[in-house]
Amino acid sequence: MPEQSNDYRVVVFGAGGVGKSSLVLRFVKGTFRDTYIPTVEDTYRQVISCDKSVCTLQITDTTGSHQFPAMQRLSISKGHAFILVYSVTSRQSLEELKPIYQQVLAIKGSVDAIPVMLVGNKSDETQREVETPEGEAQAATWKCAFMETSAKMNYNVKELFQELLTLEKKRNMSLSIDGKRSGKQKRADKLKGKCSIM
Amino acid sequence: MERDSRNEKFFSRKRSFTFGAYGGRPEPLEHSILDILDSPTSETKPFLSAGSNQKVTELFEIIEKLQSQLLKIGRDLPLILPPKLGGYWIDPPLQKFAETSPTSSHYGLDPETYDIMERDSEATYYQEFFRSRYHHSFTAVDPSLGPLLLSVCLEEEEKRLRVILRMRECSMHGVFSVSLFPNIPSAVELAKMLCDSVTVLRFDVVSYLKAPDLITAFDEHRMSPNFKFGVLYQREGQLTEEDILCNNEESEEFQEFLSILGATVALQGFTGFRGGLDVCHGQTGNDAVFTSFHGREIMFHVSTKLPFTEGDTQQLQRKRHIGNDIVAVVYQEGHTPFLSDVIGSHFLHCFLVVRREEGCSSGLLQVSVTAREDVPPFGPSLPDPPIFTESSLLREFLLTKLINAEISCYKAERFSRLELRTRSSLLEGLQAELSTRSQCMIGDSPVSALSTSEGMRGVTEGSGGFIENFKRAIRVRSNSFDTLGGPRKMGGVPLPQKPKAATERDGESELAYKPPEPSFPPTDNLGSTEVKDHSSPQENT
Repeated sequence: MPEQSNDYRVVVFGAGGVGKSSLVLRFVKGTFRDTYIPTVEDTYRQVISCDKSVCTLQITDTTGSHQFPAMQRLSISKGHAFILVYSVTSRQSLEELKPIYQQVLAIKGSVDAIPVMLVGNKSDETQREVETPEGEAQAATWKCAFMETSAKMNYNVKELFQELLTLEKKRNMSLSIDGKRSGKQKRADKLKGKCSIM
Repeated sequence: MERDSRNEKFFSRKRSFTFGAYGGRPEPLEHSILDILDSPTSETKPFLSAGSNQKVTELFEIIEKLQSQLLKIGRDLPLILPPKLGGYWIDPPLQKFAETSPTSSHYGLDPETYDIMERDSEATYYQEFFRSRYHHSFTAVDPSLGPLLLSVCLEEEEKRLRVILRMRECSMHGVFSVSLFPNIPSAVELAKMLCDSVTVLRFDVVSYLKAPDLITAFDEHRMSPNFKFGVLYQREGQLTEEDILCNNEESEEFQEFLSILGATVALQGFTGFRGGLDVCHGQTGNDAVFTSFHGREIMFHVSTKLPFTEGDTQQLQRKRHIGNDIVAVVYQEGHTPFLSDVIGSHFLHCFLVVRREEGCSSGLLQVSVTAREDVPPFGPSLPDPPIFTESSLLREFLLTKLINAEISCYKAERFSRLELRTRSSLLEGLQAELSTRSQCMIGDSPVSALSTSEGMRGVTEGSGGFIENFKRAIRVRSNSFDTLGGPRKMGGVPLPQKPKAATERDGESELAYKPPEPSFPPTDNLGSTEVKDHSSPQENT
C-alpha cells in the first residue's frame, strides 16, 4: 500500500522477544498471545481524525533481528515517531537498543523535535534485570520519554501511544481509543484541534 | 547472475513433492504415510501445524503408527516429515527415501561443483568497472517504471560501452561494442537497449561530487559477507519446539558434529562477526560456534549454548536468536523425524537435517533438506544416497548448502516483497537527492529544494550554485591574501573522496545507503561570514 503524505508513521524497535508485536497487537487489536513468533515486519494502520480531516496512524512493527540493516535505516528515515522497547527481564535487550538509538540520531540528526519513547515491557514479570530507575536514567541520557508497560496485562499500552502523540510538536494530536471522553475533554479537543480515533 | 540462473535451472527438477501443495500423485510410501496421518488419532487437527498445542501422547501415537508402518516397508523413519497441510518441499522426496540404500551408487560428492550463489552478483559492478574510470550517471523518472538511474562508462582500451540501468525491481547491466554505433548513443537509447519498457524521453545528467559514493552505497546495500544460522539438537522422541529447545546436554556425537561446522569460540571479547550475540556481558551464553568459509564469516546460534531459562517452556532466550534466523541446521540423534513447521517463526524458511546412521562404526551422516514451498531449489545437489562418510566433505557441502539456502530464501515471497519495497524506496530517495543536488550544483534550483526530499540532509551549495559559491569564496580569500601577503591553504570544496572500506559490524555494511551526514565546507576566519551566508547546514526533516 503506498504511503500517504498525511500518514503519521510510528516505528517500533527493539531486540528479539521483548514484546514489540505484543504491544502493537494489544493496542491495535486488543489481543495478546503467549507464543513467541518472530516477526519479519508488519505494518498496522488506524484511521484517526485530526482537525476535522482524516489521517492515518501507521505503526510499523519491525524485526528484532540484525538481518536487514537497509530496511531498518529506511524505517528510521521515513518514521515520524519511535518506540524503543526493551524487556525489564533482560538487561541485554536494553543494551541492544543503544545502537538503534545511535542510528536514529545519525539519520534524523537530532531527536529534540522527534517523539521518542523508551519502553520497558513485561513489567508484570517478577524476575527483573532492569529496575525502573535504570530505565528512567537511560531515558534521561537520551532526552526521551520513558514508560513501563505490560502487553500481557494491558498495562500502560494505550497510554504509551497517547503519550507518544502528545510529544509530537508539529501536529496537535491525541488519541482517545475507547471514545469515552468527558464533555471537558471534547471541548478541549475542539479548541486544540486534537485527534481522536474514529 | 549466470551461475544463479544455472543453479535454478539445474535444480528445478529436484523440487520434490509437497503434500497438499501440488496436484501430483503421491508414491505408495507417501500414500501409506498419509493414510496413517489421516487415521482417527490425527484427524481432528492438522498434523502439528506451527503453534498447535497437540498433546505429546497424540504425537507419540502418530509416530508409533508411522514407525510400525514404515518398518513393515523395511525402512526407518525419514529425517523430515511435512506438515499435513503442506506448504513445504523436502529433498530427497519421501518416495526417494524409501529407495535409498547405502549400496546405491554415489554421485554429487564432488566439492568442485559446490558453487556458492551470489545474493546480488551485479552489486559490485559499479565499484569495479566504473569508479576507477571516467563515467557519467543520469537520472529520470519514468511514467511506468518510476525512478531510473543510469551509469555509462566508455572503456576506451576495449572500445566498448559499459552501462548499468537501475530500476525499482532490479538493475540491468550491459556491455556494448562501440563499433555498433556510428555515434555514441544518448542516455535514453542506452536505457532502451537494456530495457525496452523505458518510455522516458530524456535523462538529466548527475553533477554532484559525492554521487559515486551514494550510488555505490545503493548498489551494495544488500551485500554482506556474514551469515548467521541456527543449530537445533533433536533427540529421540522429541517432536515439539519446547522439547527441542529445552535440550541442555550435548552428546559427544553432537559436539563432534559442531566441530565439523566450525570452532567453538569464547564470546567474551570476540571480535569477529557476532550475529547478534553479546560479546561484552555474557548475556547470550559463554560460547558459540564460528567459522570462516571462502571469505565469509558464519556465526552459529547453537540452541544448547544459548542461555537456558528454568521454568520458561518457550526458552525465549534461545528462540529469540534461532527464531530470527532464516536457515537452521537440525542434528538428530535417534529416529524421530523433524516436522517442517515445528518451530513457529516468520523468519525460518529452511532446515538442513543431519542424522547419524546408527550401527556404523565409521559414523555415516545422512542429510535431508526442507524449505517453504516458495523457496526456489538451490545447490549443491544432495548425493545419491544422501549420506556422507568424510567430515571434510560434509563441512564443504553443508556450509555451501546453508549459504545458498539463505540466498534462495530471500526470493521467497515474505522477504522478496520487503526487499523490493526497500530497494524501491532507496532508489526513489537516491534519484531525488542526486537530481536536486545536481540542480543546486549547476545553479538551476533554489537551496530550499533540497529539503523537499524526506530524510535528506547535508550542506547546501547556495542559491547561486556551486560555481557561483566557488567564485565568491575565491574572491573573499584573494582579498585576504593581499592583506596578509602570504599564501594560505584554500578551503573550497573537497575533491571526491574514495569510498572508505565498508566496515562490517554485525552484518551491517557501514557503506550501505543512508542520507549523507551534514558537512561543513572548511572556511578561514577571514571572510567566513560571507561564505556562511551561502552554505549553511540544511535543516533536518
